[in-house]
Amino acid sequence: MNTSEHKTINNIQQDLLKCIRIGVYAGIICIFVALIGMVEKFNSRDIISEVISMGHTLLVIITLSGTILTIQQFRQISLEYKHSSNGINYLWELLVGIFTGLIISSILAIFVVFINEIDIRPIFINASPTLLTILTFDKDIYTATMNLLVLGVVLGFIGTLFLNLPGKLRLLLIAGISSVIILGMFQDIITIILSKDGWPKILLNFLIDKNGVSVTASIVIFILIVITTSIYPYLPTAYENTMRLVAIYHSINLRISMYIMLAITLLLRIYWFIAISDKNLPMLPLCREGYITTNATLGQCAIVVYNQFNNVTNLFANSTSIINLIITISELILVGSISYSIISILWKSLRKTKSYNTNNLSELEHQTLIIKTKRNFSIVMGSALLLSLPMLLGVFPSEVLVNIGIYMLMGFGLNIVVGNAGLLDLGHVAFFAVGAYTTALLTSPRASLELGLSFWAALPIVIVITGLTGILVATPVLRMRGDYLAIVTLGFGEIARFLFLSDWFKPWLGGAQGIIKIPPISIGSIEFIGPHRIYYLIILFALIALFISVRIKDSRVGRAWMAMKADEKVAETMGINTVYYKLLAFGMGAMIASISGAIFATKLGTIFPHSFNVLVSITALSLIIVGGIGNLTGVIIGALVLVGLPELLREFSEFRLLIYGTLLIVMMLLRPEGLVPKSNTNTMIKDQDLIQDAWVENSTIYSHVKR
Amino acid sequence: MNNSQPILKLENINAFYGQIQVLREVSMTINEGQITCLLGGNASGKSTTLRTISGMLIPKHGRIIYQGEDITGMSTTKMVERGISMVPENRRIFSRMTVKENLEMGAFLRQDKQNIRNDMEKMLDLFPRLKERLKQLGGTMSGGEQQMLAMARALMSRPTLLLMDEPSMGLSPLFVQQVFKIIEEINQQGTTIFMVEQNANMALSIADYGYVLQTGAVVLKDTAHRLQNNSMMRQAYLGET
Ligand SMILES: Nc1ncnc2c1ncn2[C@@H]1O[C@H](COP(=O)(O)OP(=O)(O)O)[C@@H](O)[C@H]1O
Ligand SMILES: [Mg+2]
Repeated sequence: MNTSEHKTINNIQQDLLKCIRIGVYAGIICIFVALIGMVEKFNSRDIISEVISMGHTLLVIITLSGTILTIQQFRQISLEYKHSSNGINYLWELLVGIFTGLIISSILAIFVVFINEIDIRPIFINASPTLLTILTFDKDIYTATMNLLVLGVVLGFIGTLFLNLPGKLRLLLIAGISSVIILGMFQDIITIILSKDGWPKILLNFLIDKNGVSVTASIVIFILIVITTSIYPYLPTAYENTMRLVAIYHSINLRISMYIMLAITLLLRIYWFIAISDKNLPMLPLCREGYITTNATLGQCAIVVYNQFNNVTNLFANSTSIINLIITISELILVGSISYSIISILWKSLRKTKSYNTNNLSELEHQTLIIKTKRNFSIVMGSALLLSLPMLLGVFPSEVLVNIGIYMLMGFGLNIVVGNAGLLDLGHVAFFAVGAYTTALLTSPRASLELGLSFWAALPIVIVITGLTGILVATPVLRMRGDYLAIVTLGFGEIARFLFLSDWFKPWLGGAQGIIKIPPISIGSIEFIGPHRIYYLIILFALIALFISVRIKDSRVGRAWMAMKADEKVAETMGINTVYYKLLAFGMGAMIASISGAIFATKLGTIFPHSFNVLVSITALSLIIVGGIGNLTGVIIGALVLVGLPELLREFSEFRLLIYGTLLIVMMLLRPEGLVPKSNTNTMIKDQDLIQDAWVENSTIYSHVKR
Repeated sequence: MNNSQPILKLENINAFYGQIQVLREVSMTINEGQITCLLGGNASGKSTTLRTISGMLIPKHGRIIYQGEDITGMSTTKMVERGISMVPENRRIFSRMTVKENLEMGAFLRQDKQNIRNDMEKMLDLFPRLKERLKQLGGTMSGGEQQMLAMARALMSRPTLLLMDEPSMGLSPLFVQQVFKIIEEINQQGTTIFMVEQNANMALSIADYGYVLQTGAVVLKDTAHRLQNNSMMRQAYLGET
């Protein structure tokens, strides 16, 4: 009896300590974000127009996270000590939650009173009157303090309530609320996109009010997302079943026909563009204007090719609408299915000998077929979307996409060095810079060499030179690993920048002035100026890099890297020449980065040494880590998150590094494997693998596929 | 016994780690088709001897003759090409790769896909435990299974000479017996084996010839049978008082 009572008292003390600690942390974080100016900056925008501002949302989120973390801690302690009944537990939790909320809000309240009394602006420049107005809700200080405390209690209560909701309901709530918040955060970019011609004006007016998402829109979106989330678990099954049906009814080699379908659609598009500008050509029935839309999405690039961009702005302005995308996709499917049927008939008659009747298919072949169908489906849909993105989004978002692409390309290169070969390279910017500078030197007529080569003539030279640089850099560090290698490569990156900046090379590289007048990339008479055109180049090169990365990963070279990364010494005893493979990794990584640099140079038209600072390397490395080291999907997602988000969220860009750092720490703590963990990619085994493995063991194969 | 040819000869090897000399004038002969074992206490230089043979450590003086060719100073890759394969100390399998991938790594230098596949099946017959675990990650297996994988991996390069560093280390007695049985089997199929062991009793029971190393120098060498009965041996290593 006595001991258990003793324990409970001990318990309470423990709990209180925990609450106080996490509460104090959360309170300090609140003050921190206020003092660095984040709250004020964010407050210029509302999440929901006239209801809640972004700055307040930030504070509310911090407070809520604080209470939720505390209660989770508390639950762990309760588990350890085995609290009595459930009812009492709930009560305790409520108390703990409210208490934490109160601590956080009182810290904030003290802070408010403090900056109200004492002007700390000489030290903390952001502790401005505006901040005070935000934190006091424009009331006098006593009401404000009271309000804050009440708010803390309410938030603590909400936090507890939230944690005690059934899991499903919680998920729905999170999904609904976070999508409204995300919409609010992205309101700028959404406004830019939707105010372009072609998008229905009503949509914009409905979604965005004066200074944030409109109240009605947030309710509608909340409900929509909740509905989608609740039916979400059934979607994969539905998708699976559809694909199964497609695979059964068209159990022929789908891949070829799907590609041909895509090709035919594209060709029709191109023909249509040529035909409208050249009156001598007849309009094919399939190309009739009413049928294939007046505005183009997929064929935008084609008209660009044909018309040499004379009325591009015009075209660009009216070539975008969501309806357009829908029409393009339906058109794709229509044209596709026609060509598809023709091809399937042809195919079947050609390959009479091999029966594709599903009844004769083994389960393995059947699964393979479904996998293939799915893949082809996503390839076709994905390429349709990829090709029409710049037209759908407009110039500024395309610019962002291009920047994402440049980093993605560099990321693919770095991924070979870091992800595949396991060599921590912090100076990848050097190769990016060498690529950019070599391009500039070779193509700019104003460069010292006065060569004025075309981009395409220069590119192979650029790639080779940068590849050699990679090997050159790698040679002295062959014996190094891990931290040492990281520091040395970091040094190399900086050395590269200083060399470009130096007086020594000034006659050739222009010192701080850099190299100007780098001509844009062109094919024939078509010039790739402006993000919506460079986008296609980036896509092209990114796809090539992706393809190379995928192929090399599964190749002999990839396996050698994998072994080397795991255990260099043992890799050697397998007969792997680690020197060769290290040099190869650096060389290839450098080559891919050089393409990125080359496009970067032509995109800007001018390059300075200052564009190539260590931050570029850090960003490239961070995006690999965030995405999941050694993982190509991870590189793509990492680039989208780390490069795309800061550019889209105007308010965030100032705090970019802070957010990077926080994100990296949180990632390391919660998901050390990255956003897309490796195991996911392992389950996406290729059909060839499936068949190859058939000799191994039958039962394991099916379990593998179904995952 | 005398009719077997020497496949590997170490001649007066002196090996150093930096300034520290570890092997002193070590000379050994390994005969083709035999099991030769290298015994000795901790830190006597056994692993160093294997490292020297496999090219990971280049001796300062002395020569290594393999099949009549001087291979001193050649890289590990070249050694593997010539048919010297190694089962490293502590197994060191690729823990994040599956069993199958580990085996494939073993055959890295080989191009003959069909034969690799046949060999893999052979390995799975030799080590039935691996067969059930082909898709399992190497790191998630027990010590004994990892040892088998390490051996199978080394064999995948079709070595003529297999070097093994303490294959019985850290295994349960049952596993130790199994491992030694398999070593004998591998040897009977024609692979010459040079094995470092602490478990002198077991090692000598399957070996043909043995060397004893003490602080980097060979102090005893004889046929396994005679070593087993050597009084000094019995006192020092075979646990008899
Ligand atoms: N990489 C190394 N660097 C320096 N000294 C080493 C290294 N490896 C082993 N040694 C030293 O060499 C001696 C012999 O080691 P080793 O050959 O591993 O012994 P054994 O395998 O017989 O236990 C030991 O004294 C050890 O400390
Ligand atoms: Mg040893």
